[in-house]
Amino acid sequence: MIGVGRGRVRRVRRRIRRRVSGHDPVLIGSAGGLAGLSVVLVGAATRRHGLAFPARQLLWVAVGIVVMSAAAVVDLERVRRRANLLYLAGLGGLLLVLSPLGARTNGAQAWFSLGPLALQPAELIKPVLVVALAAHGARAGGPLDGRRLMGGLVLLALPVGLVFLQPDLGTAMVLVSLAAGVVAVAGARARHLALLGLLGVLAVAGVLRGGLLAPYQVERLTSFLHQSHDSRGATWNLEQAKIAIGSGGIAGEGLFSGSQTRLAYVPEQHTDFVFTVVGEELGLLGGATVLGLFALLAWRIWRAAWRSRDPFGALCCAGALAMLVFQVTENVGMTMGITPITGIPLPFLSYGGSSMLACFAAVGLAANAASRAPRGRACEPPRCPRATGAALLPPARLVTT
Amino acid sequence: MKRRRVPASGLVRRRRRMVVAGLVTVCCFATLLARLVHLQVAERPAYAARAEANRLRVVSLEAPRGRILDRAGRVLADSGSAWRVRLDRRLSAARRRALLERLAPVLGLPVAELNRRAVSAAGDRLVPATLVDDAPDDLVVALRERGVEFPGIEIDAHPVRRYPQGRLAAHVLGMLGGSPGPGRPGRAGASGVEAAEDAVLAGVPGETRIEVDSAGRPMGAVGGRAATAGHDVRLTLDLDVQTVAEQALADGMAAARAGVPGGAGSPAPGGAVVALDVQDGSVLALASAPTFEPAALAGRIPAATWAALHDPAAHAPLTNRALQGLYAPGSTFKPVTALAGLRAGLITPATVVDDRGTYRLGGRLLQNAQGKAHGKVDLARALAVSSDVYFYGLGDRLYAGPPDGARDGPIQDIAGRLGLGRVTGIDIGPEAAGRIPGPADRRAAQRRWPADVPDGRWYPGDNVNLAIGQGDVLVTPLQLARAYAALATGQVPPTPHVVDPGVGPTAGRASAGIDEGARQAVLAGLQGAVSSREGTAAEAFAGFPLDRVPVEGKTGTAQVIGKADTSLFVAVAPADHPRYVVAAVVEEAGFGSAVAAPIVRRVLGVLTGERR
Repeated sequence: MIGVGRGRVRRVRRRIRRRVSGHDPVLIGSAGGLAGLSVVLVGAATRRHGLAFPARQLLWVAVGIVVMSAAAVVDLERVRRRANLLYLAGLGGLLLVLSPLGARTNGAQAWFSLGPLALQPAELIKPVLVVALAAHGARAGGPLDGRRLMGGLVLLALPVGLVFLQPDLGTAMVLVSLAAGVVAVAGARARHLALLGLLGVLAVAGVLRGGLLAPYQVERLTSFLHQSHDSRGATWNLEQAKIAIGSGGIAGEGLFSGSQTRLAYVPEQHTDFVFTVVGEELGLLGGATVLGLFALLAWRIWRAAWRSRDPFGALCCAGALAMLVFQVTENVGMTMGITPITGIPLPFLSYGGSSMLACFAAVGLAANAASRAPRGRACEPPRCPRATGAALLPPARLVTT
Repeated sequence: MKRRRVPASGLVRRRRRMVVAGLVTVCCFATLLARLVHLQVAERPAYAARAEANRLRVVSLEAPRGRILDRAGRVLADSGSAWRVRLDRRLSAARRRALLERLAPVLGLPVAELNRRAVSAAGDRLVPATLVDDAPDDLVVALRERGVEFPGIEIDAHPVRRYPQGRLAAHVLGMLGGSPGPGRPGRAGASGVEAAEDAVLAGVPGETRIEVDSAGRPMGAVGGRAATAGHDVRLTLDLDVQTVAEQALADGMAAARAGVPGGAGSPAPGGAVVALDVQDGSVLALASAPTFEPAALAGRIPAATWAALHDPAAHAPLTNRALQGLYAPGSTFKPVTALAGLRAGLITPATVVDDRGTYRLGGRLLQNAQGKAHGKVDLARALAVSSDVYFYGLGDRLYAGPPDGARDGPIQDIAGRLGLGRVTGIDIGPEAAGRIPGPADRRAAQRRWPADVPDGRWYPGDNVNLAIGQGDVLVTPLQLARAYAALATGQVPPTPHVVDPGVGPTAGRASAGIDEGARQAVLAGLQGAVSSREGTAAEAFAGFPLDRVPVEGKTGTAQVIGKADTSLFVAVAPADHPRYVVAAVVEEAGFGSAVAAPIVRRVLGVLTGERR
């Protein structure tokens, strides 16, 4: 009895050790560091309202770390196999939120209200779409031909369409960009990508001109192109954000001391404009540090994708990278007036649970893939592929060229 | 080998795309960092300034005005502190209404009036609207005790004008008017010394810098500077003389209204007294009646008060009659005519005229006042008894013919040398110019107002009228006093001033260009008017120590169409070495000897120390 029990325990322990060991501490550490900083920044932005916001953010960070751990240790192959199920569940969430079950705030039907907390299926669809597209790309087993590419586009089009109905323009843009990342790395033809790019440009022009968007949305999107216009209208957010960041200088005004932040001059500061807190209170040093942490995260995800011999893992990393880089560039860029203003949260830093979970899930996937990649020099072939690694590389599937 | 190469080619393709992805990522981060550096280093000063402008609102603090002192340093206008009840301008209309309804019984004011005060004054929303600007202490105590009942009401102290001497010298001190301009709280001087010396009295306003949030809510003061009180202004006015002058004027007017012995009662609605130093033009007293209560105009002026001040029945109490009142000088003008006659060689001091009480000019018969016949009069006696007949004849002979001639005669010349008919240049205002009519003036008037002055010619009758200070001639009491100062000293008329210039005795002034012998002859006549038994002012100066303080003076009783006569008197003392000149004018009061002369006597008494 005891012997048998000991044997089982040992087996379980070995399995756990195998899952936990070999993870990239820099990747996980930079994500954790950003999430920890977010509690402080949200606290600074909402100090007039007490501790409610940072406390909730802290809760979400904790939940996010659990989600990341799960995504990092789960068997990737099983994820790949269940990709379609995940995808359907995600679509189901997006459909459900449009039903009377979803709550409507700020003119968008985008939330499930769970007491004091709220879930945003549009955020959660991001890692789901990464997984679905990566599985689709891996299934192709080689460069995506036109037919496979069309399949990917259909996978993309469904959630984008549902997100548009909410409407949530920003998330739709993130979905498109992460899909582009996965599809490009999966080996879509350059010709096809160029054609899609052209179509994308035409579509954006059509959306802006064609009356699909409300006038306020068009104004907000294009306000960064004419920033000197009226300071009380569409450019108010942008002007106040730039004043906050610009007045920070090199060292910043000091945490909790920035006047723009203290006196609530920047609207939506704890959510979409959280970078202005960094800019004003922590200055260039803090801002560069935050960008550095994001760059570190991007580099480690990129490195995992580079090293991974498993196409599914690599494509997951590519999707996570595209999602992260696009969101950071768009969000930080908009607070500084170089990109359009859209409702895209800054990964890990913006207040909000769904975004936090989505980002931790994406980073967890990347960490998972990284832990399976061979150690040592990146170009060296694996010396002793582990059982799971071998399962991920069925030679039969890869013979296409 | 083959199996190894096949997956590698997938890997290679992926890695080729990953290189591109990596480059894109690097570009994105490099762009963000560059923009961040640009904003936070290159553009930092501009954005820091805008953050400050966002954050801070400046609220000005009123500076206490400087005091106004008499020549001995006694306070005429002080700066005190008053409780002000103010209402937060950011209350919603409904809450404001409810608050004012509760507040109205406490303040004792109707809700409508309070509401008007709360919303009428436009301005910074951070500066509360003033409901009451001089609240009594017990009201403040009551409001403070019940503070919780009146959220949005604040009570603070602010500087206000106080007048320790009450109404004294109200016209000299002047009033405060509207706002001095943007960024300067309180009120600017609108008239009198308050206006003339506004720059000195005003001081420098202070400011409080208040931090406000994005909704404009004040979050607290973050520094500023205190207001600097204005400087004091010292006047040449003597409080004692001013007090006597005002009292004498009031008494004289009251007596005229009651009916002086030997005369009928008259309305006597207004008058003025001016006392000057003949040497430097310092104003020692300047009174105008009716007067007003300056304290009632220092704060918010109730509509009823303002209406009462402008009621025609109140006879324009805000007008400074000493500077703005225009009166026919009557017989007080006769010295001018006399000097002109002497200058023209038409008379000598010894020339004798037989005054039978009437003078025939063309077809008209002109009379002395009351038809009295003075008999044989030389120049001195003509002035002492104020013989109109003597001056009718002189005016007639001074006429420089033909009616359409444009040259002014000697009367206008002497009047000009004595400063009559033009502004004196006194340092407070406003001031009226008056008029000395003559051929040139008549012709100019005809050109300017052809409908009112159809005939632009100057006739002998005009000259005769002017000779006794009647007709179109108009002077102010101040001009009259100043002209007598010039007459007494022989120097150009001094520029009057009420503000002490703060320097030593001025250099001797130039001669007025009047023949010394002629001047002495006229002054002898003026002394006779006061001291000779038959002098017109003898009765008024009965009992005055003329042996120690000889006085030269001239009465005037000017006819005004449709009204009772204007009573005038001007005197210089001491006659042997002139120091003071005092002029008094009382409207619709009858004889100069009866009303104006006693006023001047009282003022001269206090000036020369003969009667306190």
